[in-house]
Amino acid sequence: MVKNEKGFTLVEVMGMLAIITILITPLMTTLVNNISQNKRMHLRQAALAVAENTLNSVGRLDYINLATIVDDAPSEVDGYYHIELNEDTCISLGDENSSDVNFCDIIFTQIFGNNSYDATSFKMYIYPYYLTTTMKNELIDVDSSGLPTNVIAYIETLSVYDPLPAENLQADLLNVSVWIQYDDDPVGTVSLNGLITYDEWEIN
Amino acid sequence: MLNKKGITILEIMLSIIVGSIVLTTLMSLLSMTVNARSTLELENRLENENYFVAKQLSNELFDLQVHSLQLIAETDDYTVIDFTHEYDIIIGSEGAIETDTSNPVTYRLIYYKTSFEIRYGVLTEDNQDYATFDGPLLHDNNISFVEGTKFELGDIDYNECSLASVVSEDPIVFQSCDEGVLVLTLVIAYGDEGETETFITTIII
Repeated sequence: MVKNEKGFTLVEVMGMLAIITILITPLMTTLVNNISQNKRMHLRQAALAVAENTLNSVGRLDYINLATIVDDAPSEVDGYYHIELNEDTCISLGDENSSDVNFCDIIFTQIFGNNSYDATSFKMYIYPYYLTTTMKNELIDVDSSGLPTNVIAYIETLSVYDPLPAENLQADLLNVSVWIQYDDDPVGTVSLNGLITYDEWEIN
Repeated sequence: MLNKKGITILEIMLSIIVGSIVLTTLMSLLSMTVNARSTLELENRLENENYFVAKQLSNELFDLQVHSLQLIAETDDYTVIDFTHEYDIIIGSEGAIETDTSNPVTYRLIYYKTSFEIRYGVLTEDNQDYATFDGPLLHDNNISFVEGTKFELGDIDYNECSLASVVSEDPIVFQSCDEGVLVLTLVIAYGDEGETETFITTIII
Protein backbone atom coordinates (compact mmCIF):
# COMPACT_ATOMS: atom_id res chain seq x y z
CA MET A 1 0.00 0.00 0.00
CA VAL A 2 1.33 3.43 -0.85
CA LYS A 3 0.48 6.19 1.57
CA ASN A 4 -0.27 9.66 0.25
CA GLU A 5 2.58 11.80 1.63
CA LYS A 6 1.64 14.96 -0.21
CA GLY A 7 -0.22 16.66 2.67
CA PHE A 8 -2.52 19.62 1.98
CA THR A 9 -1.92 22.03 -0.81
CA LEU A 10 -2.17 25.77 -0.25
CA VAL A 11 -5.37 25.86 -2.31
CA GLU A 12 -6.96 23.21 -0.07
CA VAL A 13 -6.04 25.11 3.09
CA MET A 14 -7.37 28.36 1.61
CA GLY A 15 -10.57 26.58 0.59
CA MET A 16 -11.05 25.24 4.11
CA LEU A 17 -10.50 28.68 5.61
CA ALA A 18 -12.99 30.17 3.16
CA ILE A 19 -15.62 27.57 4.12
CA ILE A 20 -15.06 28.19 7.85
CA THR A 21 -15.29 31.95 7.29
CA ILE A 22 -18.53 31.53 5.34
CA LEU A 23 -20.00 29.45 8.17
CA ILE A 24 -18.85 31.68 11.03
CA THR A 25 -19.61 35.08 9.45
CA PRO A 26 -23.45 34.80 9.53
CA LEU A 27 -23.34 33.46 13.08
CA MET A 28 -21.21 36.36 14.30
CA THR A 29 -23.29 38.85 12.28
CA THR A 30 -26.46 37.50 13.89
CA LEU A 31 -24.92 37.89 17.35
CA VAL A 32 -23.83 41.47 16.66
CA ASN A 33 -27.24 42.31 15.12
CA ASN A 34 -29.02 40.89 18.15
CA ILE A 35 -26.93 43.05 20.47
CA SER A 36 -27.57 46.21 18.44
CA GLN A 37 -31.30 45.44 18.04
CA ASN A 38 -31.57 44.86 21.76
CA LYS A 39 -29.89 48.21 22.45
CA ARG A 40 -32.15 49.94 19.95
CA MET A 41 -35.24 48.40 21.55
CA HIS A 42 -34.28 49.86 24.93
CA LEU A 43 -33.57 53.25 23.34
CA ARG A 44 -36.98 53.16 21.65
CA GLN A 45 -38.74 52.24 24.91
CA ALA A 46 -37.09 55.19 26.65
CA ALA A 47 -37.91 57.61 23.82
CA LEU A 48 -41.56 56.49 23.81
CA ALA A 49 -41.77 56.92 27.59
CA VAL A 50 -40.39 60.47 27.34
CA ALA A 51 -42.75 61.31 24.45
CA GLU A 52 -45.76 59.97 26.37
CA ASN A 53 -44.78 61.84 29.51
CA THR A 54 -44.41 65.01 27.42
CA LEU A 55 -47.88 64.66 25.90
CA ASN A 56 -49.36 63.88 29.31
CA SER A 57 -47.94 67.05 30.82
CA VAL A 58 -47.84 69.60 27.98
CA GLY A 59 -51.42 70.67 28.71
CA ARG A 60 -50.08 72.55 31.74
CA LEU A 61 -48.58 75.24 29.53
CA ASP A 62 -50.79 78.30 29.51
CA TYR A 63 -53.15 77.60 26.62
CA ILE A 64 -54.03 81.19 25.80
CA ASN A 65 -50.36 82.19 25.67
CA LEU A 66 -49.51 79.17 23.54
CA ALA A 67 -52.47 79.66 21.17
CA THR A 68 -51.53 83.32 20.72
CA ILE A 69 -47.91 82.45 19.88
CA VAL A 70 -49.08 79.78 17.42
CA ASP A 71 -51.55 82.24 15.92
CA ASP A 72 -48.75 84.78 15.42
CA ALA A 73 -46.49 82.24 13.73
CA PRO A 74 -45.71 83.13 10.10
CA SER A 75 -47.89 81.31 7.58
CA GLU A 76 -46.28 78.93 5.17
CA VAL A 77 -47.10 79.04 1.46
CA ASP A 78 -50.02 76.62 1.87
CA GLY A 79 -51.36 78.37 4.98
CA TYR A 80 -49.96 75.57 7.14
CA TYR A 81 -48.26 77.15 10.14
CA HIS A 82 -46.82 75.97 13.40
CA ILE A 83 -44.26 76.69 16.11
CA GLU A 84 -41.35 74.46 16.97
CA LEU A 85 -40.18 74.11 20.56
CA ASN A 86 -36.99 72.50 21.77
CA GLU A 87 -34.53 72.89 24.62
CA ASP A 88 -33.12 76.07 23.06
CA THR A 89 -36.38 77.78 22.08
CA CYS A 90 -38.40 77.54 25.32
CA ILE A 91 -37.58 81.21 25.89
CA SER A 92 -39.97 82.04 23.02
CA LEU A 93 -42.86 81.20 25.39
CA GLY A 94 -42.34 84.26 27.58
CA ASP A 95 -40.03 86.06 29.95
CA GLU A 96 -37.07 84.28 31.47
CA ASN A 97 -38.15 82.41 34.63
CA SER A 98 -41.83 82.62 33.69
CA SER A 99 -43.84 79.51 34.54
CA ASP A 100 -44.15 78.39 30.93
CA VAL A 101 -40.44 78.81 30.20
CA ASN A 102 -39.53 76.90 33.39
CA PHE A 103 -41.98 74.13 32.59
CA CYS A 104 -40.83 73.91 28.97
CA ASP A 105 -37.23 73.52 30.20
CA ILE A 106 -38.34 70.73 32.52
CA ILE A 107 -40.05 68.96 29.63
CA PHE A 108 -36.97 69.06 27.42
CA THR A 109 -34.56 67.99 30.16
CA GLN A 110 -36.49 64.84 31.00
CA ILE A 111 -34.51 61.64 31.53
CA PHE A 112 -35.75 58.09 31.23
CA GLY A 113 -33.40 55.28 32.22
CA ASN A 114 -30.35 57.57 31.77
CA ASN A 115 -31.50 58.58 28.27
CA SER A 116 -31.87 62.29 27.60
CA TYR A 117 -32.10 64.22 24.33
CA ASP A 118 -30.63 67.47 23.05
CA ALA A 119 -32.27 70.27 21.07
CA THR A 120 -31.65 68.55 17.73
CA SER A 121 -33.15 65.21 18.74
CA PHE A 122 -36.16 66.20 20.88
CA LYS A 123 -38.66 68.66 19.42
CA MET A 124 -42.28 69.56 19.78
CA TYR A 125 -44.35 70.99 16.93
CA ILE A 126 -47.59 72.79 17.75
CA TYR A 127 -50.29 73.48 15.16
CA PRO A 128 -53.79 74.93 15.37
CA TYR A 129 -56.32 72.14 15.05
CA TYR A 130 -59.61 72.95 13.32
CA LEU A 131 -62.36 70.53 14.21
CA THR A 132 -64.65 69.63 11.31
CA THR A 133 -68.30 68.64 11.76
CA THR A 134 -67.57 65.06 10.69
CA MET A 135 -64.74 64.70 13.17
CA LYS A 136 -66.71 66.31 15.96
CA ASN A 137 -69.61 63.92 15.36
CA GLU A 138 -67.22 60.98 15.53
CA LEU A 139 -65.74 62.22 18.78
CA ILE A 140 -69.05 62.86 20.52
CA ASP A 141 -70.40 59.44 19.52
CA VAL A 142 -69.56 57.55 22.71
CA ASP A 143 -69.82 54.17 20.97
CA SER A 144 -67.14 54.92 18.40
CA SER A 145 -64.86 57.27 20.34
CA GLY A 146 -65.03 55.60 23.75
CA LEU A 147 -64.31 58.94 25.40
CA PRO A 148 -65.51 59.69 28.95
CA THR A 149 -68.82 61.55 29.15
CA ASN A 150 -67.27 64.67 30.70
CA VAL A 151 -64.78 64.92 27.83
CA ILE A 152 -67.61 64.48 25.30
CA ALA A 153 -69.57 67.23 27.07
CA TYR A 154 -66.56 69.51 26.65
CA ILE A 155 -66.06 68.61 22.98
CA GLU A 156 -69.71 69.51 22.31
CA THR A 157 -68.88 73.08 23.29
CA LEU A 158 -66.07 73.40 20.71
CA SER A 159 -66.46 75.31 17.43
CA VAL A 160 -66.35 73.54 14.08
CA TYR A 161 -64.67 74.84 10.94
CA ASP A 162 -66.41 73.89 7.64
CA PRO A 163 -64.68 74.74 5.39
CA LEU A 164 -61.26 75.00 7.01
CA PRO A 165 -60.14 78.63 7.48
CA ALA A 166 -57.97 80.04 4.71
CA GLU A 167 -55.81 82.12 7.03
CA ASN A 168 -54.48 82.04 10.57
CA LEU A 169 -57.31 81.77 13.05
CA GLN A 170 -56.96 81.02 16.73
CA ALA A 171 -58.30 77.53 17.31
CA ASP A 172 -60.02 75.90 20.29
CA LEU A 173 -57.61 73.00 19.99
CA LEU A 174 -53.89 72.74 19.43
CA ASN A 175 -52.26 69.69 17.91
CA VAL A 176 -49.02 68.78 19.66
CA SER A 177 -46.59 66.52 17.88
CA VAL A 178 -43.64 65.22 19.90
CA TRP A 179 -40.67 64.02 17.83
CA ILE A 180 -37.64 62.25 19.27
CA GLN A 181 -34.70 60.83 17.36
CA TYR A 182 -33.13 58.21 19.61
CA ASP A 183 -30.64 56.72 17.17
CA ASP A 184 -28.32 58.04 14.46
CA ASP A 185 -30.15 55.87 11.95
CA PRO A 186 -33.03 57.99 10.55
CA VAL A 187 -35.50 55.17 11.22
CA GLY A 188 -34.67 55.49 14.92
CA THR A 189 -37.36 58.06 15.67
CA VAL A 190 -40.67 58.17 17.51
CA SER A 191 -43.45 60.65 16.94
CA LEU A 192 -46.59 60.95 19.06
CA ASN A 193 -49.52 63.31 18.58
CA GLY A 194 -52.10 64.70 20.96
CA LEU A 195 -54.60 67.53 21.29
CA ILE A 196 -54.67 70.12 24.02
CA THR A 197 -57.25 72.72 24.90
CA TYR A 198 -58.02 75.19 27.66
CA ASP A 199 -56.76 73.70 30.89
CA GLU A 200 -59.32 75.57 32.99
CA TRP A 201 -62.67 73.86 32.61
CA GLU A 202 -65.83 75.82 33.28
CA ILE A 203 -66.54 74.37 36.65
CA ASN A 204 -69.73 75.29 38.46
CA MET B 1 5.15 0.39 0.34
CA LEU B 2 4.19 1.23 3.92
CA ASN B 3 5.82 4.26 5.48
CA LYS B 4 7.60 3.00 8.59
CA LYS B 5 9.39 6.20 9.50
CA GLY B 6 6.88 7.33 12.19
CA ILE B 7 6.86 10.93 13.34
CA THR B 8 9.70 12.96 14.69
CA ILE B 9 9.69 14.87 17.97
CA LEU B 10 9.76 18.07 15.93
CA GLU B 11 6.56 17.08 14.13
CA ILE B 12 4.87 16.27 17.43
CA MET B 13 5.95 19.59 18.94
CA LEU B 14 4.79 21.44 15.88
CA SER B 15 1.41 19.71 15.84
CA ILE B 16 0.95 20.42 19.59
CA ILE B 17 1.78 24.09 19.03
CA VAL B 18 -0.59 24.39 16.07
CA GLY B 19 -3.31 22.47 17.93
CA SER B 20 -2.90 24.71 21.00
CA ILE B 21 -3.19 27.86 18.94
CA VAL B 22 -6.34 26.60 17.21
CA LEU B 23 -7.90 25.34 20.46
CA THR B 24 -7.03 28.53 22.37
CA THR B 25 -8.59 30.66 19.66
CA LEU B 26 -11.75 28.56 19.61
CA MET B 27 -12.02 28.49 23.41
CA SER B 28 -11.55 32.27 23.62
CA LEU B 29 -14.24 32.74 21.01
CA LEU B 30 -16.57 30.43 22.92
CA SER B 31 -15.79 32.05 26.25
CA MET B 32 -16.26 35.53 24.77
CA THR B 33 -19.63 34.55 23.31
CA VAL B 34 -20.83 32.99 26.57
CA ASN B 35 -19.69 36.03 28.57
CA ALA B 36 -21.29 38.43 26.11
CA ARG B 37 -24.55 36.50 26.29
CA SER B 38 -24.49 36.46 30.08
CA THR B 39 -23.68 40.18 30.32
CA LEU B 40 -26.34 40.97 27.76
CA GLU B 41 -28.94 38.98 29.68
CA LEU B 42 -28.07 40.68 32.96
CA GLU B 43 -28.07 44.17 31.43
CA ASN B 44 -31.34 43.35 29.74
CA ARG B 45 -32.86 42.24 32.97
CA LEU B 46 -31.73 45.37 34.83
CA GLU B 47 -32.90 47.66 32.00
CA ASN B 48 -36.26 45.88 31.93
CA GLU B 49 -36.68 46.17 35.68
CA ASN B 50 -35.92 49.89 35.55
CA TYR B 51 -38.36 50.30 32.66
CA PHE B 52 -41.03 48.33 34.49
CA VAL B 53 -40.77 50.31 37.74
CA ALA B 54 -40.39 53.77 36.15
CA LYS B 55 -43.11 53.23 33.53
CA GLN B 56 -45.53 51.62 35.95
CA LEU B 57 -45.12 54.45 38.42
CA SER B 58 -45.45 57.04 35.65
CA ASN B 59 -48.64 55.40 34.33
CA GLU B 60 -50.12 54.97 37.81
CA LEU B 61 -49.52 58.63 38.65
CA PHE B 62 -51.00 59.79 35.35
CA ASP B 63 -54.08 57.58 35.83
CA LEU B 64 -54.48 58.84 39.39
CA GLN B 65 -54.63 62.47 38.17
CA VAL B 66 -52.61 63.78 41.07
CA HIS B 67 -53.82 67.05 42.55
CA SER B 68 -51.23 67.26 45.30
CA LEU B 69 -47.96 65.58 46.20
CA GLN B 70 -46.05 65.75 49.43
CA LEU B 71 -42.86 64.39 50.93
CA ILE B 72 -44.05 62.75 54.15
CA ALA B 73 -40.78 61.40 55.58
CA GLU B 74 -37.11 61.17 54.68
CA THR B 75 -35.26 59.13 57.31
CA ASP B 76 -32.40 56.61 57.43
CA ASP B 77 -34.99 53.86 57.01
CA TYR B 78 -37.63 55.25 54.69
CA THR B 79 -38.53 57.70 51.97
CA VAL B 80 -42.28 58.27 52.00
CA ILE B 81 -44.19 60.29 49.40
CA ASP B 82 -47.97 60.75 49.14
CA PHE B 83 -49.90 61.48 45.94
CA THR B 84 -53.49 62.65 46.34
CA HIS B 85 -56.37 62.77 43.90
CA GLU B 86 -58.72 65.30 45.46
CA TYR B 87 -61.73 65.48 43.16
CA ASP B 88 -63.41 64.05 40.07
CA ILE B 89 -64.92 66.13 37.27
CA ILE B 90 -68.50 65.10 36.63
CA ILE B 91 -71.51 66.23 34.61
CA GLY B 92 -74.05 67.70 37.03
CA SER B 93 -77.80 67.33 36.90
CA GLU B 94 -78.12 70.50 34.78
CA GLY B 95 -75.51 69.20 32.33
CA ALA B 96 -72.88 71.52 33.76
CA ILE B 97 -69.35 70.41 34.57
CA GLU B 98 -68.86 70.12 38.32
CA THR B 99 -66.30 68.81 40.79
CA ASP B 100 -67.07 65.88 43.05
CA THR B 101 -64.89 65.97 46.16
CA SER B 102 -66.62 63.07 47.89
CA ASN B 103 -64.02 60.43 46.99
CA PRO B 104 -60.50 61.73 47.49
CA VAL B 105 -57.86 59.05 47.38
CA THR B 106 -54.22 59.04 48.42
CA TYR B 107 -51.56 56.66 47.13
CA ARG B 108 -48.36 56.22 49.11
CA LEU B 109 -44.90 55.41 47.78
CA ILE B 110 -42.40 54.01 50.28
CA TYR B 111 -38.77 53.11 49.65
CA TYR B 112 -37.42 50.89 52.42
CA LYS B 113 -33.72 51.68 52.73
CA THR B 114 -32.88 48.64 54.84
CA SER B 115 -34.82 45.92 53.02
CA PHE B 116 -34.28 47.64 49.61
CA GLU B 117 -37.95 47.37 48.64
CA ILE B 118 -40.34 49.79 46.97
CA ARG B 119 -44.04 49.66 47.74
CA TYR B 120 -46.83 51.73 46.21
CA GLY B 121 -50.50 51.47 47.09
CA VAL B 122 -53.63 53.07 48.48
CA LEU B 123 -53.29 54.76 51.84
CA THR B 124 -56.03 53.77 54.30
CA GLU B 125 -56.69 54.35 57.97
CA ASP B 126 -55.26 50.91 58.74
CA ASN B 127 -51.91 51.11 56.93
CA GLN B 128 -50.52 54.46 58.07
CA ASP B 129 -47.54 52.82 59.80
CA TYR B 130 -44.59 52.83 57.40
CA ALA B 131 -43.18 49.54 58.69
CA THR B 132 -46.39 47.61 58.08
CA PHE B 133 -47.61 49.41 54.98
CA ASP B 134 -49.31 46.78 52.84
CA GLY B 135 -49.10 48.42 49.43
CA PRO B 136 -47.93 45.94 46.79
CA LEU B 137 -44.28 45.65 45.80
CA LEU B 138 -43.48 47.61 42.68
CA HIS B 139 -40.99 44.99 41.50
CA ASP B 140 -40.09 41.27 41.49
CA ASN B 141 -39.00 39.65 44.73
CA ASN B 142 -35.55 38.79 43.38
CA ILE B 143 -34.79 42.43 42.55
CA SER B 144 -33.53 44.85 45.16
CA PHE B 145 -32.89 48.56 45.08
CA VAL B 146 -29.66 48.94 46.97
CA GLU B 147 -27.78 51.83 48.56
CA GLY B 148 -27.78 54.90 46.37
CA THR B 149 -31.42 54.51 45.37
CA LYS B 150 -33.25 57.79 45.85
CA PHE B 151 -36.72 59.24 45.35
CA GLU B 152 -36.48 63.01 45.19
CA LEU B 153 -39.17 65.61 44.63
CA GLY B 154 -38.31 68.69 42.60
CA ASP B 155 -40.34 71.86 42.16
CA ILE B 156 -41.78 72.91 38.84
CA ASP B 157 -42.16 76.51 39.84
CA TYR B 158 -40.25 77.14 43.04
CA ASN B 159 -41.56 80.68 43.29
CA GLU B 160 -45.04 79.36 43.93
CA CYS B 161 -44.54 76.13 45.86
CA SER B 162 -41.47 74.40 47.23
CA LEU B 163 -41.77 70.72 48.07
CA ALA B 164 -38.70 70.99 50.31
CA SER B 165 -40.27 73.66 52.55
CA VAL B 166 -40.98 72.59 56.10
CA VAL B 167 -44.35 73.94 57.21
CA SER B 168 -44.10 72.69 60.81
CA GLU B 169 -41.49 71.07 63.07
CA ASP B 170 -41.81 68.08 65.43
CA PRO B 171 -43.06 66.16 63.66
CA ILE B 172 -41.63 67.60 60.47
CA VAL B 173 -44.30 68.33 57.87
CA PHE B 174 -43.25 69.29 54.36
CA GLN B 175 -45.15 71.58 52.02
CA SER B 176 -47.55 69.88 49.59
CA CYS B 177 -47.72 71.19 46.03
CA ASP B 178 -50.07 70.59 43.13
CA GLU B 179 -47.23 69.74 40.74
CA GLY B 180 -43.61 68.67 40.79
CA VAL B 181 -41.01 66.37 39.33
CA LEU B 182 -40.27 62.97 40.83
CA VAL B 183 -36.63 62.03 40.21
CA LEU B 184 -35.95 58.31 40.51
CA THR B 185 -32.38 57.16 40.99
CA LEU B 186 -32.67 53.39 40.97
CA VAL B 187 -29.59 51.33 41.82
CA ILE B 188 -30.82 47.89 40.85
CA ALA B 189 -29.27 44.60 41.96
CA TYR B 190 -30.41 41.29 40.56
CA GLY B 191 -30.20 38.03 42.54
CA ASP B 192 -26.90 37.13 44.23
CA GLU B 193 -24.68 38.08 41.32
CA GLY B 194 -23.75 41.40 42.93
CA GLU B 195 -23.98 43.30 39.65
CA THR B 196 -25.71 46.65 39.97
CA GLU B 197 -26.68 49.33 37.52
CA THR B 198 -27.86 52.87 38.20
CA PHE B 199 -30.75 54.39 36.24
CA ILE B 200 -32.06 57.94 36.51
CA THR B 201 -35.60 58.81 35.41
CA THR B 202 -37.69 61.95 35.83
CA ILE B 203 -41.48 61.86 36.03
CA ILE B 204 -43.42 65.11 35.66
CA ILE B 205 -46.42 65.12 37.97
